[in-house]
Amino acid sequence: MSNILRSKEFTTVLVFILSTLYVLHYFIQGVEPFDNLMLTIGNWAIISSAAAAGLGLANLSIIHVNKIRKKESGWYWDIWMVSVMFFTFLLGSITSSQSSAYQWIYVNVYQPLGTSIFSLAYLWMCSVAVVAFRVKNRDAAFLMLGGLLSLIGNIPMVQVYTNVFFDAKTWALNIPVRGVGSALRISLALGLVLVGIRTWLGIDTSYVALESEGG
Amino acid sequence: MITIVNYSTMVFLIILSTIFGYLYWLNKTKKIMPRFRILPGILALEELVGRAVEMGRPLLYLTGYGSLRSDQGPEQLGSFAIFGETARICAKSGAEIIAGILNQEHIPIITSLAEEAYRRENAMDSLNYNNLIYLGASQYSSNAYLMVTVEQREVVSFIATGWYGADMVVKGGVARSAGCLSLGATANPDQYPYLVAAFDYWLIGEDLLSAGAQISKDPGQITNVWAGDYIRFLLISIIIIGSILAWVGFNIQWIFNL
Repeated sequence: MSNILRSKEFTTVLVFILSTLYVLHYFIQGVEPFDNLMLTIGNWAIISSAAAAGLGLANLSIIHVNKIRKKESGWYWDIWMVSVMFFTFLLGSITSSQSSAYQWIYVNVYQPLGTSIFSLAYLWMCSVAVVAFRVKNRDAAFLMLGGLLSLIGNIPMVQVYTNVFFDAKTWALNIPVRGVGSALRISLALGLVLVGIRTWLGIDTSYVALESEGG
Repeated sequence: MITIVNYSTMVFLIILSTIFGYLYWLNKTKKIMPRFRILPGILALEELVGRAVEMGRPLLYLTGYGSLRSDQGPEQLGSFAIFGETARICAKSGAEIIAGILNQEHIPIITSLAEEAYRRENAMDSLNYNNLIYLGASQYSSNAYLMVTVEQREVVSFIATGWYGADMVVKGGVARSAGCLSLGATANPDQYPYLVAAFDYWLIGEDLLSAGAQISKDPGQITNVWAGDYIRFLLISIIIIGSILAWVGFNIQWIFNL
């Protein structure tokens, strides 16, 4: 039985049936039993996804406990990691995620640590901008000019003397940049639909198993 | 009362399916075979794994946060296709792969893809399950893990595919500063500039969505991408005609109200 459940064919047929139901439900409304069925399927999906959090807990526990058992390099950090994970998990389970103790950890520990890591994004933005704006060829020169125009157009002091840069930057953002952006988004949306069709019809099953014999 | 809704979407889907069906028939009967160019990002997989083998250091792969129950799902499927191929090349060449899983929904998929890849290459003994690690569905934890792992394990090749937010630039920047050869792939348009600036190779938008077709070279998948190109030409024509009609004073708003 487990072999059938794990087979590529079973998954493909299941995906086909569920996708067909979802597509039909998108177009046909007002059939109460059908609406109820789709609501139930939707709830199953949410519950399955939530249950997957348990998989995450199991994955981390196994990997870190293995490291502690083998006393791999930095194993004491793994003890810290597992202890904090289970402490937070138990605290949330016993008291609820809205309790003051749980919220204290979230607001005073998790959020500041998260913000510290997030702030690094600005450092790396500057770092990659320096690399991107190196004028190595004609295309890079255009990129650099566009960046320079945007930069000067955004300086308030320059706007005191002239609106030329601000107007040029606004025009560039509203006309060519928005046009290209829309083209990219339309193309992307179409690509998403096409992937949907591939998956629906079972043409693309790369999420179940490899189709390739080599790139 | 039974009602049929979203007529315009239905018409679009029927046109798309008809074009796809017709092209698939042409392809099956060998009447027309599309030319299909494999993108440099996909070709670079061998180079990325080869570097890890030559230097005897691991390759780090992050598979993206995207939920499979949202519009991020398709790009995640593309990400899984690239991961499966990378794992297969690693299994074949003996490179060590560390896979960071960023969404709990992906744990069984990534694990089964890695198992399948190693089984295909008769290298199941080399598969290290401790290297298939869940990093929490947060950019903070994955960034912290990336910084630590790149430093401690001396990672030489780095791949990040799937849906990412503002952390894409951090991932590319950290990899570059550590001297990793990197490949980034996402279909999140807001991250394209950072992807191109921070990574050595990249796949943006449709490049990632068609990854499965590029890797498998399956006629059905290739025809699907081909149908998309025809639809794009059709859409461009409609946009141009619509713009001209609107410009000369015709009211075309009723089309959008269907």
